[in-house]
Amino acid sequence: MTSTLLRRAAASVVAALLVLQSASLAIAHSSDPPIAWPLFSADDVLQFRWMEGEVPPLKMRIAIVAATADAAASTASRAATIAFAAGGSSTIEYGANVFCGASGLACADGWHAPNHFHVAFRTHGYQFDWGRLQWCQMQTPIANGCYDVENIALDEFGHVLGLGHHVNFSDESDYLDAIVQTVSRARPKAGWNADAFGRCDVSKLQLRYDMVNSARRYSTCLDLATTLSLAVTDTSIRIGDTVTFTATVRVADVAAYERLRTNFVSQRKVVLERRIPGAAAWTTVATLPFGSASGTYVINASPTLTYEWRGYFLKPADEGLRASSSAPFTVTVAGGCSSPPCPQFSMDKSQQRREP
Amino acid sequence: MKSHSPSIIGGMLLVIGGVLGACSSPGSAGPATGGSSSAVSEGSSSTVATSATALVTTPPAGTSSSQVGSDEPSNHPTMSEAPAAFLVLGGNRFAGEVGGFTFGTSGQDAPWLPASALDRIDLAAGSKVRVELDGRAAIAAWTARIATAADTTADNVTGLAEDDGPTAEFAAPAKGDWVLSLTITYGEGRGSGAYYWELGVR
Repeated sequence: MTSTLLRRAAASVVAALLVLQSASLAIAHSSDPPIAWPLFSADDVLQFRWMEGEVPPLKMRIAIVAATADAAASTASRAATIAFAAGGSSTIEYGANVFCGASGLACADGWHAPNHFHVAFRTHGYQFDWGRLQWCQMQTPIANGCYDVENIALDEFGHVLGLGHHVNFSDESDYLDAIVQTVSRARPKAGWNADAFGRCDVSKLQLRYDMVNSARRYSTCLDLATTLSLAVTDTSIRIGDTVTFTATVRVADVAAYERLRTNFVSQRKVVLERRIPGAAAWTTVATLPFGSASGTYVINASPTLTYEWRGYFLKPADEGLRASSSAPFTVTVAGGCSSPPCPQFSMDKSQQRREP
Repeated sequence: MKSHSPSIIGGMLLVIGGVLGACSSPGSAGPATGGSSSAVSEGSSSTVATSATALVTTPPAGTSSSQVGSDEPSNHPTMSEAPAAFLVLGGNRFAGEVGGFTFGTSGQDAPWLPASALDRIDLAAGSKVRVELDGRAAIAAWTARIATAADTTADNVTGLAEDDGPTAEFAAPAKGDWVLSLTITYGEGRGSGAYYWELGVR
């Protein structure tokens, strides 16, 4: 080990962060807007009961409870969980004279948020100006024109969790991106029985409640800038020495990212790149194994030449994160090869670790 | 689209057992009892009256085109009424029928409102129409869509105009009978609402 290596603790280099300029979120045609009532707490459990004297029929109760499972399975965030409990403080009611407006087949109220909520469903067969309400679960056989209780309940639960109606393109081609919609669809229109939050519902839930952990995927309705820092244990070594590169990926620190800002981003693909100092092109040397700490990617290496190094976070195809790269820095290798051909760069992956 | 993992289904069955055990009501379809005294009655609408010829004035604050009762017991939820929207044509103002909306502490879901639920407004092709809200909210953004009046389930919706601004003004669609829907995003993050009119464009 060289004297240089003795200074390794002090030689860690943290690269400057590269944040893309356009980091703000679009309002239209992206994540659902928030609803204007206080947000329930992350990881909370919201228990509801059937309102006395206004209890939905059995088939509707089953569908509503199924919607609670749909919600729990699809929030992909720390959004509160909704669950039936006989003593629940929130209520769900069913009737002709529920608190919905004149055209509402169902509605949600957050007047008491974040303590409890109220949801109401109009009676099967209720005669509106727009037609007679038919709940699919109440029909045998099911006919076109009915509304799926499970779908509508999930829409209402979306409101409860803080989602406003999705802002669609004018041709509504993105209708399936959200279940929390201004216009409810009857069977058999596309989306009539969707039973999971759409990607633009999920994105707002993630923004408002945060991710479950750093390995979970961000909704593709998001377009979050990321930052990548790359550190090395020593920037001046002798040939044969080993250094450790540690990359750290985070969501950029942007106010619009709400609870997601500066989140660590784990278990994605980060590559290590190098180039001869002054060269234009980068060469990918290795994919960094996951580190044990959140958002980290670690590899040991024994460079045989002086190179510039950087990390590169590749944009995942299946989530709403942007690519980012670290600022480059040089690791100087003394006593090494000065004219090609030179020994191969070697990587030590023996310390590869995965998050538990 | 209907699929659940076994664990979810198992959890659901447990919960459903509790649901069934906790409820003795048959859940009849009759009117609500002992709590709700909403002014909305079956088979009627309390929407501000509209007609092709009626001149509708802006109602005082606190009323809307989706009026529901306000005399409910304090322990019963009450609806935050959506702001009323008016289609302004020449010197006349026609109240729109509100469908789905979120406003204040309430959210309501509704279908596309068909022509049968609306009063027709006759106007000339190319007419400039404007939509305004009552004083309880400002327009932050809006999207106008149309479907033919015969298309009761809005299977073929066409975007007519849209803007991220406070002035919802646009040209009437081509000749024909249409349902016009304006989805308005209220200012100050107060929600959004869909409003409907039937247009007879000649």
